[in-house]
Amino acid sequence: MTPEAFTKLLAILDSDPETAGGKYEQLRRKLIKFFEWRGSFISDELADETLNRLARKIDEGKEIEKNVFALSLGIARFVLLETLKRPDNKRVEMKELATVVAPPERREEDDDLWVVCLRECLSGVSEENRELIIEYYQGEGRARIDEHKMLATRLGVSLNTLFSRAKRTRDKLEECVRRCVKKKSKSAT
Amino acid sequence: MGRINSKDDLVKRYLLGDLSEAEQSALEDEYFINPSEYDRLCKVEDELLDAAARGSLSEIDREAFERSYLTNPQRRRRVKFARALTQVVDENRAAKRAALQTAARERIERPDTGLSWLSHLARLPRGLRLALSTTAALLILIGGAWLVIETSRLRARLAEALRESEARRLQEQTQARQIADLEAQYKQLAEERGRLQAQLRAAIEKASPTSAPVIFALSLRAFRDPGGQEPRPLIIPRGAKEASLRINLTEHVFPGYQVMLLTTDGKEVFAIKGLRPQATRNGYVLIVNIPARKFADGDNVISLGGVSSAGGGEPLGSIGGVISAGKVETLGKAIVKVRRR
Repeated sequence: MTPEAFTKLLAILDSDPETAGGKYEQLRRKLIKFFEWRGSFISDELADETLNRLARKIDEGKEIEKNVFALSLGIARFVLLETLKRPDNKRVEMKELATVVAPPERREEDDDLWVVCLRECLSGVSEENRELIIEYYQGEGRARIDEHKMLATRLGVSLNTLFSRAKRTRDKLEECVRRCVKKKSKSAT
Repeated sequence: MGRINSKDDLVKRYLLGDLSEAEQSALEDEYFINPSEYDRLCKVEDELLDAAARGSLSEIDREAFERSYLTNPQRRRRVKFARALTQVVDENRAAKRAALQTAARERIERPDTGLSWLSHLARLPRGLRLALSTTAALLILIGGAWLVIETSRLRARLAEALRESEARRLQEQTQARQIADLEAQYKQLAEERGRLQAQLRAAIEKASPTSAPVIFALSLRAFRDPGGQEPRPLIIPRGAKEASLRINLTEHVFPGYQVMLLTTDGKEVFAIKGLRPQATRNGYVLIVNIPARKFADGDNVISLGGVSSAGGGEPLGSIGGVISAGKVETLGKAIVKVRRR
């Protein structure tokens, strides 16, 4: 993506550069999730490829009829289709591969590492967010819904705002834990 | 993960790869445009991951979850994170509960004696102790003064409220008394009215003892020679409605008779034709009921005529004249002097 094309894409997303930056990140997250939910192993790459194509189209003067998000989705579907058609991306049923690819899963040790990293990462977030994540993700089903309601009332926010806050913290923690696990695994080997 | 509603269930099926291509596309169109729908997907996915980490998925969901999530390295990392998160959250929760229980137990086992803070205070340096004591005394003084002012203000308001309440109560009592007096007066007046009405009815009945007709009789002679006789007196009592005139006929020669009440100057006041006499032991009698109000006070003339079979017509003159069919022959007139009392 050329800098000019990127600037044009941002301008289409919003006239305010700061807001446009936020919307770009939002669009990228949605695209990554789209590819992930569609079962792609390389959702980040495909999301970036989609954004490149989108920027190119805008740079070439493509008229955006409805919504840049809707246009991105259309492009993403093409990208996904192309990827699935690639010979190296042929996927087969798990049953067929079970005997071949089933890796020896050192689940307990591995899980311990994730827990250790999570504790480390939790110590790095504010006490408020630590409390939030602990309280928000406890319980299940009806009990969890009731907990959320009580928590939202206590904090004086709506349920949606509460979810957004908790989700932001969870995503940050997940990113932190992934980095931590990667680092610790490397140093172990 | 429990089913919360159909939309969440649809999202869950999307995440587990159980939707058709068309259903997937429709859902994607929605969440790409609508941020709250995207949030819903993220939320349902987190719940799915946490439920899987806690091992609370149904058998079918667990199989679908393993097929969708554990075959994808990216998603597998998400599962690992969810496992770690639920473990830490649950441990933390358990630790919190345990801490709360311990604290509660300690409170039960070691209740406050009320002297511990004093012993703590006694251990403080003298200067700090003095400053703390002065501050506490000042606070108590200010608080006490405020309490006194507030209490007196509240007392004044209470007294005022009591006064108002008493005044209202007295006013209500007075009003209740007035209402009771008025009701008694009304009852008394109603009784008085009933008594007076009864008296009035009695008085009226007394004033008009009879409404029966006044009967008075005239002989045929009185008609034939009115000039040679004094006017016949007729007293009509107050309240009498009718005067029943009985005319004794010595002979009955006409098929019908006519009786007229006239003024002294000959104007007709009342007339009745086609009368038929009734036979009695002493001859025939004509009975005519004349409304009492038709009589003038003083002299009144009553004319008797004989009517031929056709009835009506001119009077024929003398009593011995020939009677034409349907004609009236005046048989005579009598003068009646009416008095009312």
